[in-house]
Amino acid sequence: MNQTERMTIEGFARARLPALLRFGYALTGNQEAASDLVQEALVRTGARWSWRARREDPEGYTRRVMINTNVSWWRQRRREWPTASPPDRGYDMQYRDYELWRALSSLPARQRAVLVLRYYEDLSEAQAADLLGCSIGTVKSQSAKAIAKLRAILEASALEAK
Amino acid sequence: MNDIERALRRALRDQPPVHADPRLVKAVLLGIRKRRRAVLAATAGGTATAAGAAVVIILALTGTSGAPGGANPAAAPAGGIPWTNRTAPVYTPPPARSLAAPTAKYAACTASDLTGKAGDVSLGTGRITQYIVLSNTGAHPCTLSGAPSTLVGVRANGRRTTLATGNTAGTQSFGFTGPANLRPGQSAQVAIATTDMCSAASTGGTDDYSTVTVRIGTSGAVNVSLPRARPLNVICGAVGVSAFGVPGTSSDQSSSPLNVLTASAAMPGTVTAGTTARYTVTLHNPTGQAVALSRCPSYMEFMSPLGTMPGSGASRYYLNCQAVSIIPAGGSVTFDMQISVPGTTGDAKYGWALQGTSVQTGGSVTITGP
Repeated sequence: MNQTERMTIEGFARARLPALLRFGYALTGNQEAASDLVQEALVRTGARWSWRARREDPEGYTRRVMINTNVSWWRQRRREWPTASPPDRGYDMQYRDYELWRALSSLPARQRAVLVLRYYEDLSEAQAADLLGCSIGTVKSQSAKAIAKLRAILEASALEAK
Repeated sequence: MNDIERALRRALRDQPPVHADPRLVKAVLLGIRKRRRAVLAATAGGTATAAGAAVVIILALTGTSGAPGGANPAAAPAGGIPWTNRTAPVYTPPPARSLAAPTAKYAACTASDLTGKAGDVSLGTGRITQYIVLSNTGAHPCTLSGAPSTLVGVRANGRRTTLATGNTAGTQSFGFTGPANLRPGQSAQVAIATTDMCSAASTGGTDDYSTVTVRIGTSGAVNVSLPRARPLNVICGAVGVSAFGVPGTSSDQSSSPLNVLTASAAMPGTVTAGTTARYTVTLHNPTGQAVALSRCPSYMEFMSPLGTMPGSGASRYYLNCQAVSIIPAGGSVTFDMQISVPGTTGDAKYGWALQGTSVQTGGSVTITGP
């Protein structure tokens, strides 16, 4: 990668970093995991930057890498700590919607990604399917399963609190 | 859209504003450069490892330099309020009061009743929401119903463009309850949502409006100047305008009387894997009034090796409120703490937070083998 191309990816990173960090936070619910995810994705995006900048949407590619990397990390964590409780929101988090964030963190990364794309990015089912590389039917079923699981967790949590 | 979907949308978009912190942006850019160097070194047969690079990056993010825990005392000071083994549940915010939808109580507000100013900006991935605050500066109560009949954007050069007509944000409530019954001095809001999800925005393109004109029915319009640093950028075209309303009441931690406290932790710089570490947390009350721990607060603590999800495996306990029930004005109370050290050696982060408050502290520590 020559100097010009490096400057270009850094310029892209600088311009889009806040939005990518917010996307990472929505995917992970964790500030530092989001930072790590963005760094990993931008390094990969930059690997063939000049080609990507010419041929495809670099931001779309970066977001795809973030989703896939998060799924991969989630699987790795699950193997390492099969009985661990769901990841907590970091100590630096606010506690608004705490239960919902906690419930979200218990979802498989793929299901969470579907919810983020549908309810945060406002993507259609077709757009989400395209980004995730799956069928529209899969997006529908994953979304329905995730919502049902969230509801079950939140209802159980509300009962515990009584 | 059902209740869960609405709550989900709100929670995902209601992120802490820390994401726009330039220090974090700088740290991430630095991390990318370091990670890239590590990849290149690994490719070239160097000794850099992904794990090593990750440590460097996370230390950069946390602003820690040198060995983690190096700034901490070698041993935690003793003599605090004894730790108590009383576990606590995960904090559950009190349920928000469910309010019946209001009905219009007064005559309709006219443009001459209202003055406007730019409110907060909410940043969601792909969506940026500019809130406009409209205050009843007239002499009589009035009701603001529906949505702006038109929203006109005015560029710095004075050129005007109609950005939206009526409620173009559909059923998205933006947390507002309407119509807004406004006594003199009271305010309502309207949200203007734009997006930055387009290639033009990705390459830094702008289509900025420095002023918006909110037309109130047929009575006239209210002009609102936006801060020079954050004009309304509609480069991606779509503009969603909400109905008028009053922000809903929230029952989050912001109302906790304990939020005046500050916390600081003293953790040994090195702890042993698989053991229980002892440390202290000092709560300081900088105000001139004593803070009562009358409803005994609980706290959350965690210690997570770098490279794992920070905050995983958190524990929750109550403070020892039998030993101390008040933090005097200008005073401090130190509590002894215990935490299970993970079995993984290496650098780690720890965190401590009073549940349901904004009181929190944390730092870095090195976990060594037994």
